[in-house]
Amino acid sequence: MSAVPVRVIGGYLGAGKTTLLNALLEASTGERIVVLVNDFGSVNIDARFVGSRAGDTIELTNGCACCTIGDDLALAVHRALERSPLPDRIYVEASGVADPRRIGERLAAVAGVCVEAPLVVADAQNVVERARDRYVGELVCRQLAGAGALYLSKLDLVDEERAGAVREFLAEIAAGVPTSERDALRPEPEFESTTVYYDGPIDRALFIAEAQALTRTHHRAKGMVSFTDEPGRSYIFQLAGSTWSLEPAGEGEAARDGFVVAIAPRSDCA
Amino acid sequence: MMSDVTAADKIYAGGPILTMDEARPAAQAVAVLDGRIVGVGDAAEVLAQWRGPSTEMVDLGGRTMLPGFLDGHSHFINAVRLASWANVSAPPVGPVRAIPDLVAALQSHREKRGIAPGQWIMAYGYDPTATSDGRTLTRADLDPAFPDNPVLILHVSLHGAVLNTLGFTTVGFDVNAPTPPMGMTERYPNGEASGLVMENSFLPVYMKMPSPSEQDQLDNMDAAQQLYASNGYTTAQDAPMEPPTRPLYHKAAEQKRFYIDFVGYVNWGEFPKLLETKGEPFLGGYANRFRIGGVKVICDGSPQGKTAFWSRPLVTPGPNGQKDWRGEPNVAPEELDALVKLAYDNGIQIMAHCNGDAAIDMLLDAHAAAGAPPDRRTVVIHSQFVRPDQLKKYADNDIMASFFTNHTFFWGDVHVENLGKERAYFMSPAKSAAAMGIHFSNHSDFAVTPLNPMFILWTSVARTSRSGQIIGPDERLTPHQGLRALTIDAAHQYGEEDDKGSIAPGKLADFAILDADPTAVPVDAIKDIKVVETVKEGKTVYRHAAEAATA
Repeated sequence: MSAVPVRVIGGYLGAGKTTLLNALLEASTGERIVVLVNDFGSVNIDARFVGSRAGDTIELTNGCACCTIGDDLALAVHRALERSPLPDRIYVEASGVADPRRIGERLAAVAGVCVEAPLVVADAQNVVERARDRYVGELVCRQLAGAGALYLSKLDLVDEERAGAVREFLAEIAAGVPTSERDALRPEPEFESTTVYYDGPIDRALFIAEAQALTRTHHRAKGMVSFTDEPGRSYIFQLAGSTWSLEPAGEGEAARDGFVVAIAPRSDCA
Repeated sequence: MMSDVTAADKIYAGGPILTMDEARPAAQAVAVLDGRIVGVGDAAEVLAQWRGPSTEMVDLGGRTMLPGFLDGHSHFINAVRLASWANVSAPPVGPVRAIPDLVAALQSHREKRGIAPGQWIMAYGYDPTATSDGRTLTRADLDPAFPDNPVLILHVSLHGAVLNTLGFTTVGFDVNAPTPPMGMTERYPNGEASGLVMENSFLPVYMKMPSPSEQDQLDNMDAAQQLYASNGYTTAQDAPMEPPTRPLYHKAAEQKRFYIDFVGYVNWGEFPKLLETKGEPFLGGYANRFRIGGVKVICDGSPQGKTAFWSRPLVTPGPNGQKDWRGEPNVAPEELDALVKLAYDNGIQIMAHCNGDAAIDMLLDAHAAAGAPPDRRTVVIHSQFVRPDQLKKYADNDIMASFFTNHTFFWGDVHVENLGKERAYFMSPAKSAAAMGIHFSNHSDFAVTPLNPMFILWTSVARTSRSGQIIGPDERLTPHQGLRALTIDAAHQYGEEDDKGSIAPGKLADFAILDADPTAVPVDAIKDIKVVETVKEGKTVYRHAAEAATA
């Protein structure tokens, strides 16, 4: 039996996590999705979709379900896996101040699940300010930087200038993380990104071999590295399709070397 | 001749009586009638006024009488759950110095409880670093003595456990399974799990752990109260009542199972709904000795776990090696603001867990945003790393602290390491708080540290860590000040200072009788003082047995 994919949906209060989860539940056709939330109060599933309700579970008419987490998230996931038939996928709503990546790591020990990188919802109206807030700034940045995918919400409520500033901000704090701006119904990133960090200059021949191997599994990559045979100089690495290149970086860019971000078509968790 | 109508039921005399009443700090005799104190004073006076033909004369035999202690903060549910478990903690919390002690404790527990073959033996408090064996407990240590009982021994951190072989098979744990991410499984040289599983390795075990039924828990209410009463508490607390436990307490009260007073605080998550549907539980008084005292919110985590929320970073890395780590809030500022306002608007007391000063800032901001109403008896639970400027705000806003000086012993060295001397030495600044007229209680946070109020008193007076370092000599209290935090000021925290917390006419006859006077012994002897009897409204609810049982 293949593992059930579990994805944590995180993001600060009011960013739109619940709206997103609601939409996922209602729009599902065929896929049995189970959504785990902190409490039903905020979910507000349209009455048309509600089949039955008992204790900690609301069963939807389309085969999906929404369950409250209760005391212990791992237990709630475990209970979801005891459903018959087994869910096709599980979404977990993280609280607004939680670190969704840490939640996912804890869930990795539950037998029968495959934890996907978290999806973090960012509110275009205020994410930049939140990221600078004296109380929650650091945790918001951590949420964004740890995301496997981002969903930028409420774009219709901001002007183009603000939208641009937000996109720029996200590109910086969550470099390489695919960001979806489409409607809520397609939060699944089409691609999955992996970042590799290098601690200092690396062996050139080895890197070239790795780059070659990368073209077989990934269709885009970008990074900056330096080599042991030329420690003072940084190179920009780019990979597109089946070819890759190394270009010497300009003087001003050298300080940030030591990483490669690679983007591949999203793999199923099986 | 005194008629029986106006005579006391009991008169206690024959030992030091520390009243905690600043108007009359010491007395020789106390008269009790219908559960209340009616006379306090010189023996001759009290006897003349209150002794009648059927008055029971209780001879203290030189022992010291104090007001019954009020629990500043703890999680009573632990007592309910642990009542049927064996304590395998290291001293001073339990009897285990080495693995043979642990095995013996479990055998004795099995006998005493009549645990049959096939039934679980559960224990708590195991600390591999505190035993003299130099190695961790394994199944091989347990299997010979427990071939027919699955055994689960909780690690002192509550983040793991040691199981015997039958324990593993009973929960379906494969000793050959690989260690999951963020898990820790101790193994024999042949690769099999040897017994201790922590964090994510513990998760599959935790999910299958037997939990006591509701009936078991109700039946445990007596043992749980005995645990508190044997420590001199006549008022106990659970804050917050985790949502599944609240109905349990309501049921226990309906069944009249409480004989000490019990105050529960509602978890902030369920507070708005509860307020909407059932306003009265918050506003009523005791019903069968149970009442809801208010709402509890947890604003940050633990300092030793590096999840408290500080305004300045730690000097050591974060829990995952992060630089400039200052912890994190557990609640968003807007949520806290809304909660505080809702509580104040409805006249409901707030207990806010805040360890780091940034969490305290958040709470103080929320208090201000809600109009800073006076005398709401808002309590900052733990308040460990409060800053001097924040103490001033407590004083100006009738905000109380419930300190946790036990931390100076259990984690004092860790705090010095993580925060540096300046911040660590000012932790739980009880003396500074007292000087500013701030009311504070002092608590165990049971089961985080033991209930023992004499140990709590000792830590408030000695502030000495495990290594012998004095964590902030300037913040040490006098024994009298320390006792106030367990009695009259704890009563103030509960809003019950008219009825409890001191030995004065009109108050409830709630007493703790100790085998020595904490104000008259050398400081280091304070922690060894034992409670010999506890009285609730004139009735003895606990009396120390001649042969002490280590429960």
